[in-house]
Amino acid sequence: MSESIRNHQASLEISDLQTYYGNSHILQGCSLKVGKECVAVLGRNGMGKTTLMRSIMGLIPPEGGSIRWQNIELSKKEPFEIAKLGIGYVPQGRRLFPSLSVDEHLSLTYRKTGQEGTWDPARVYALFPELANRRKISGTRLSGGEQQMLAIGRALVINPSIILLDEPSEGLSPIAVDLVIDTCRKLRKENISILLVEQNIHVAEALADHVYIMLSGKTVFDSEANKFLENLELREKYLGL
Amino acid sequence: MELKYIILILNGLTQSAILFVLGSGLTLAFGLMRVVNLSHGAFYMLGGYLGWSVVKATGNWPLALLVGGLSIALLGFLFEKTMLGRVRGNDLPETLLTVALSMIIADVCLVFWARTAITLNVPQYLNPTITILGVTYPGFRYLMMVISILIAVSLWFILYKTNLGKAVRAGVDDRETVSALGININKIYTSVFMLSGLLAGLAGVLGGSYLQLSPGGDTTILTLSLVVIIVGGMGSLLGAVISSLILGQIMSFGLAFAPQYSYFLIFIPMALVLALRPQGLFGRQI
Repeated sequence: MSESIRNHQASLEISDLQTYYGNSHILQGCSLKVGKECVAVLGRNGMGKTTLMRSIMGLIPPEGGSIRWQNIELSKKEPFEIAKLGIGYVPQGRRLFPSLSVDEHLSLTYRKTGQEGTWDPARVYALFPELANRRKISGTRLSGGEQQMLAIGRALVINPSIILLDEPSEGLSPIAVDLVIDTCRKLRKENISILLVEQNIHVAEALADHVYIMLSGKTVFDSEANKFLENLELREKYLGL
Repeated sequence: MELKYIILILNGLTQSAILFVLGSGLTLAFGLMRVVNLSHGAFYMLGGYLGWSVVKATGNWPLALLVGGLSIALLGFLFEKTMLGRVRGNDLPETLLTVALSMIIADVCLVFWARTAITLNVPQYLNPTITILGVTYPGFRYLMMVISILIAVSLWFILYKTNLGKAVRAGVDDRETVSALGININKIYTSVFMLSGLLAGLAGVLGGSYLQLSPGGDTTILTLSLVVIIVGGMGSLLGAVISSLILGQIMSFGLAFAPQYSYFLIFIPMALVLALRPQGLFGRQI
């Protein structure tokens, strides 16, 4: 995708984001755009990738810079308002609720709209049949892969236009990772944008249209995914791979 | 079994009924909001005094229960909305605010109500003498047990069968993730605090009809409610049920056989729980 088309289509646009965690300055100028595509943010551990996701969701409100989503400024909004604007969040480590069953995870935020083609619990079960048999058990008693499916399903029932995925492959078996990749492809077919943060370069390789590199809280490099991933010199430089 | 013991067990159950209504309110608010509401005892007392005034003016005990409960619910709503909500997440200001409120309420009670102990008058029609299997016991005490059971069932229904309850349970687990999924956790907090106030007010009217209301009684009540939730496990409804049942019997039998130690005895299960299972019988590690 050429740069001009990306600009034109950008629905999430972050510029010069500054976020602090207590006294430590974590994000020191983070800028990126996401259009109708899958964008991966790569970088080594501790570079601020998770903080970036949390800042977008308003969980750590940024102190400077802007986050624009469909021309609405998010940086002063509460997390629940941000989610309601159509941003689905799948946090690192999945963070399911031990007190809630699988069914309850999916009905917690779902509100019947009556419109065709919306994501409701039934449609999530159709997407992840393995969850359908385990509706009544606690979400945290599922296998790692199933838990990730549930975390994605929980984000889908708010009918988002974009999903933020924070390290979705973390702690999963290779088969489960393939399932995550497969799921994300299906979401892209539904025209849901994806902003992906990953350590696992194979997931990014399989999914990303565009990649950004984060280094010490800054986005230092971006390019079409293929160009970056094929360039072993750049990979070595930024990711040590 | 000797009649005396049956009466003592029934007294214990009556005591449990009050302890449960009292403790369930505190445990709900603590479980979700991680705020120990130190004005819970004062809420109880104010609810009881308001109920006393209603009974005095109208003679209508059910109305007193309603007024006592609803006015403390309203107080809880206003307090959470205008003050507690502003310092959310800061343990010290949160706790100090609730201490300050309890002192203000205690003084207000001194100004408006008697400086001696008072008891709500229960009309005769609510207090028939009931004889079951040869055991005669005041009907009002059975009524208190029934009210307490109804409250327990309603709370269970709210927590496990409604959307509010789902959000509350999820919020107890992980309030941050709940809000990132599009739920306004602040509204949930306000609702739960209101519910907690309602329960404290109801407990005040119930307790004020069975025992007495006296100046300074709020601290005793606060201590009792803290013991209930520490033994049961903070945030656990089932824990509040079980620990009220245990503590009610200890109080009743303690009062009969070792009256001078009866207050002290309730701290024994608390000490045991803290030593062996600090999260409480049904609590989760925090």
